[in-house]
Amino acid sequence: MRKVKVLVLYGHGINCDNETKKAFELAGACVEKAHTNELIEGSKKLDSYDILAFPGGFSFGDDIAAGKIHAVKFKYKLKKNLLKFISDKKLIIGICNGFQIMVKLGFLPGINDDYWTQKVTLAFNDSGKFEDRWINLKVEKSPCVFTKGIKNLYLPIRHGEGKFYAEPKTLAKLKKENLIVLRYANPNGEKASKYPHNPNGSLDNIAGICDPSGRIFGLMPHPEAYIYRENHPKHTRETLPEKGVGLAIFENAVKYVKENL
Amino acid sequence: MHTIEVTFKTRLKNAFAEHKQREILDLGFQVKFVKEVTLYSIDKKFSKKDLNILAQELFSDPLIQEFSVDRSLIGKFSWDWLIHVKNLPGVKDNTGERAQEAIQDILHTKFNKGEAVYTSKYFLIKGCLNKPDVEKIAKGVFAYESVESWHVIDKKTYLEKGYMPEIPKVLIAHKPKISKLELGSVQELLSLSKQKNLALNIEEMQKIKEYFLRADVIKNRKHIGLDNNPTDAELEVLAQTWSEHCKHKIFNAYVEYTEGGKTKYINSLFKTYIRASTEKLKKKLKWMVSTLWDNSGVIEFNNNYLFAFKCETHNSPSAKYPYGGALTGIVGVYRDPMGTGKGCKLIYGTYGFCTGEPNYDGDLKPEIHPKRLLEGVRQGVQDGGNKHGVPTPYGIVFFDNGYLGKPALYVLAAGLIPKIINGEGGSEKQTDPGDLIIMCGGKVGIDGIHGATESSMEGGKHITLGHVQMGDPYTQKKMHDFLSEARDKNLYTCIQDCGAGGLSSSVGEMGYNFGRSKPKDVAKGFELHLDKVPIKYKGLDPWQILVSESQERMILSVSPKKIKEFMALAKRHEVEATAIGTFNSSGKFHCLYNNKHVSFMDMEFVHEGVPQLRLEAQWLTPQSRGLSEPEIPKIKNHAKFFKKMLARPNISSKEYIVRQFDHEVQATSVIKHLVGEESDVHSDAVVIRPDFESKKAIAIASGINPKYSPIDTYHMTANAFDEAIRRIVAIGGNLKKIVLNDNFCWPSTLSGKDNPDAKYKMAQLVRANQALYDYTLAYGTPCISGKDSMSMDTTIPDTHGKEHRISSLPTVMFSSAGIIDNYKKCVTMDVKHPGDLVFVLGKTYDECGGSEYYEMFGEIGLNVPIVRTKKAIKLYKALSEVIESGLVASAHGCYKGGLGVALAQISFAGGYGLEINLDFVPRENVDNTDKLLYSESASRFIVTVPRKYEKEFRRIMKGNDIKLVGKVVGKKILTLKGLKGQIILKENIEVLKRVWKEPFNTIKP
Repeated sequence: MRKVKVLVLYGHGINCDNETKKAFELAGACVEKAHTNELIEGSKKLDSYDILAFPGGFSFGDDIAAGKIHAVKFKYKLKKNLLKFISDKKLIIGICNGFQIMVKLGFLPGINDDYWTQKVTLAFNDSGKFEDRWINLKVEKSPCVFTKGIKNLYLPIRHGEGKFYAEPKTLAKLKKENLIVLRYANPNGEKASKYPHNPNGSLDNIAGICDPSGRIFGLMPHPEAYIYRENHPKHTRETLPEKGVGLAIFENAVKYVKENL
Repeated sequence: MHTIEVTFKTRLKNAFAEHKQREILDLGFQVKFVKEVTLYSIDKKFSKKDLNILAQELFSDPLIQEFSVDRSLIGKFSWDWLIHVKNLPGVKDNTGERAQEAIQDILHTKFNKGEAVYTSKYFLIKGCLNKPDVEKIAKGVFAYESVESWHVIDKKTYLEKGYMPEIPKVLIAHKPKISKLELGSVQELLSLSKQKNLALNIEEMQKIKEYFLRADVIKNRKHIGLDNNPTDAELEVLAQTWSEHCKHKIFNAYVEYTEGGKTKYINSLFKTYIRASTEKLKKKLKWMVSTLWDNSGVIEFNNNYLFAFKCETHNSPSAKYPYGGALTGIVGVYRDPMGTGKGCKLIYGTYGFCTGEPNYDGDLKPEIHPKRLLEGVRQGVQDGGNKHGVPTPYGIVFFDNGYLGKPALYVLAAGLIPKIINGEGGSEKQTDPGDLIIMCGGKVGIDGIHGATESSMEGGKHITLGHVQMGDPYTQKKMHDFLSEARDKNLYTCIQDCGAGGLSSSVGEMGYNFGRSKPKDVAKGFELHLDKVPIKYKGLDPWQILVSESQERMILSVSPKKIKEFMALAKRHEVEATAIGTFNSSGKFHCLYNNKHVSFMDMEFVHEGVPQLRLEAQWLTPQSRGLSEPEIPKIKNHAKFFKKMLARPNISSKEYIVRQFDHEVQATSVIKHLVGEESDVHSDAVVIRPDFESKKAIAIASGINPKYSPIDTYHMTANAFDEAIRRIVAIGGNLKKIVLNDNFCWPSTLSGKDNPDAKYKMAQLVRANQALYDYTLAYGTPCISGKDSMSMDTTIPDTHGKEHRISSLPTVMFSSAGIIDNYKKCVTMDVKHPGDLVFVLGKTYDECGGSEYYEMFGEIGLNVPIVRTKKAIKLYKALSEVIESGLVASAHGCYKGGLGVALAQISFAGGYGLEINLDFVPRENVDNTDKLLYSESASRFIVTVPRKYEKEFRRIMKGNDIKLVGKVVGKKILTLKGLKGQIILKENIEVLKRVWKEPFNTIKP
């Protein structure tokens, strides 16, 4: 069987690297962690992996703006390697701070074949506060390979800068090309009507988007935070599957690589 | 100098501005508009083109922000006043440092020495205000006086004259030197101690003088060219090492304790009570690994890992600069497990905030109002924990106006170390002679000088604020990742936190019999080259480098054979690491600066030379202090009273605090602090599973209730202790393996003219220690770490400017950690199914002394809750068994507010009503419903049990005071019947929940 190789970034204040690694392992992949500087030095090669994960955290302390400085580092030090990775049709996922980095790089939504110009943003939450709370998500119809077959999700958000924002023209394009992957929802599964179901004031309840290929995906909620049944906040009072529901995202990615790369 | 200004486009919602507008309103001023502009002042030459690239690529977000380069953009906005807030020189500018790194990446350039990026803020305000008003707003809302300066200008002046922002560059026009100090008469010694802020008393100063006049000392010093006067550095080293903070002189004092006419002598409270208990238990409990010597205590967690934890306080800095104090506190305590054994991976942190009441509007005018203080410390722990990638799953908030002067700010850190690393025990380490001294992490500046000595002093004007600092979790997180790798590659022999006392304490301790693996060959001295220590700016004297407490530093000993590999790894992780000297066997505390001798003292004198303090303690019984049981009118309207109780500051929901901490990073969360149908009611304890490969988990809780201190600190301590255990048992923990950390925060017990009852306070401390000893031994649950803070006093003015001495209540907090065998067996406090039976476990007594109930009537009372060990232990064991057997649907301890509050909480957490007959509640000498509902007797629980398990439940519980008191019902109504059978309360639980959540429900956007 083909081994699926995943590279999980760490260092520079990234802090969800261990659980992201675990999630991919539970999904059946071979996972390695790499410090961004190892990629820059060349002691680890991006080329030898199938999936790249930008985990959550506070890279560079969220200073200036969340994800900004890490995005700069990638743009000025690893642009070529990343371009090759994308053109090889490999997968990239960015979670929370990882999503912020990808948005600020321009990787997402990656429309018009442009992966290097920022087109959308993740701004300070409307509440002005960092919040850790579990929210409902509706999975929209999209080309995203990570969410294939999933209808709803219940995951935690843990951020202070997660308010999705785009100009009307960009938003129209996202809708037209079905690039909106996840929307914050009410407990009944319908589009969230207000806080706290939409926890940050995101435009059109957007919680995650992908590029037109569906292979590059970013989201604010944390699927790697629900990899065991007991991660669920109500596991002592609800009937739940033994396996963490967030795992499905990682399993989809591994399956895609096995079938397509 | 270039300046780039960045601000948010005006049409977007700005939560920050709205929040500030509310805070300004709290100060009594109405403003229409607040706009924030960030300034990046770049003290390095760049071309216009490059600056534009930086503004676009790095400093601004094209979608939501606008910027200007080398010209101000504020002219176009409508405002009346401008406040420019910037750091005081020398205060760490984290964002500026990061910006500098990024600029180097983008422009492929290097910042030379002296070149830097500085961040500051403009706040533009629109409103009818005069200059003094704006000054007040600047000080009360936008800036902290202790670390920031501000400048106010009106629009007219701005338009006429413009404004050039200055940068807080540190320029010290001083050539470093080594001074010698003469040790003269008694009077001269005392004035020297005072003048240099050394906090050394006359006995200590004389002991130092004697040392330097010893013939052998003179001879040795002469040999290297030093005379019989100590250098400034030597005196500073002794002041730090002998400080209350480092040596715990009060806990180690020789005490004459008088109680009821009888006198007894106690040689060190620490040795007699705390260490004695821990050592006795260590003989019985095989899983205790390393206690009371390293940075934190260590026990066995599972077959692969050891567990370590430590709780610290950071009270003085938090009183002056709540955000920075708390941030530095949490980031600092992380270094305790990081420096324990061979070094831990951090797995959780917790917090405790004791402040004045947030709605305080009395006559006293503390420098920072408790509401602002609470928000500041909360934000500090939030940033410290979240940015360090360590979950903050649990904590407490406690209000009492005794904390108006100095808050008690608790921060705890826990970690795991592999049991065996490269063939050696994970808790073992040792500095070998010949090892290099490596300083890791941040650079040294004047920030943080005299932390150890000044935190041991009473608050007031003489505090220089050198110890108020800005922590940097990002830098430390990088170091944490680096050290974990270095540890697993066996690149160092020993590790130690560089905290209070700076290099003086950390290198001093590591170079003196530190470590436990091969005690024979351990290092017994060192040679430290202070000129090799990386500094933030020029002009520091050698003594300043030696005692500075600049943050995010660890000290390691590295064998010369491994140094190359060690340094290469540090470089990859972008961690500063420098060899600054060598450990040896000389027995000497030897420092040099450019080859000149700075210090040359015997290690033994530095560490063991401090003379023992002698203190008197005199206990006064509560009756002799005039306390008695009050006559309280019967409650007429139970529903109204019940709601008032739920809304009390010490009882109501603290959800808004819990949510702002990342409490589930690392994906180890099993039971969160918010549980129930809507995940919004506090659980008794939280549980995490730090090792994915194991079923073992850790239950985390704490116990605190200083309101009992005015009656008797023995029982205050016993109740805090029992609460810390009770919470763990309620979640599914077990007395078999619970460890504690004790934290004492006490008003000064040193006699003086402003402290007339010092002897009584010392007796309170003795009694608290006696309780700690009695209860830890009885329960078999040891204290493996602890800390004391012995100066919870300060003076604050009232509205008329008159000064008042404010002291906190004597406070003990126990932080507990219980090892759980199978995380799947944990239960939560919310009721689960209609029809389940409600049991009350443990008797209620007439014990309302110090309760919320009495406090509502302005009374203290006399009957403080007594912890009855025998009954409690029997009950705890039985409860652990029924939970382990899966017979229990929910379990909740009774805490502040007693049975009444506990019943309401389990009901509205579960979303189902209860029908309860209070007459069935097990009790003794309680003949009125009011006391039964609100007495705070210890060791009680409310448990719900599915009907089918009733028989088995009763069988295991046999011999305990348990009674079936009612059932869970589908309707959302809480019904309570009083002792005479009448319904005293029938309330919708959604209403009760709203009342409970309302007081701190400030999280709404």
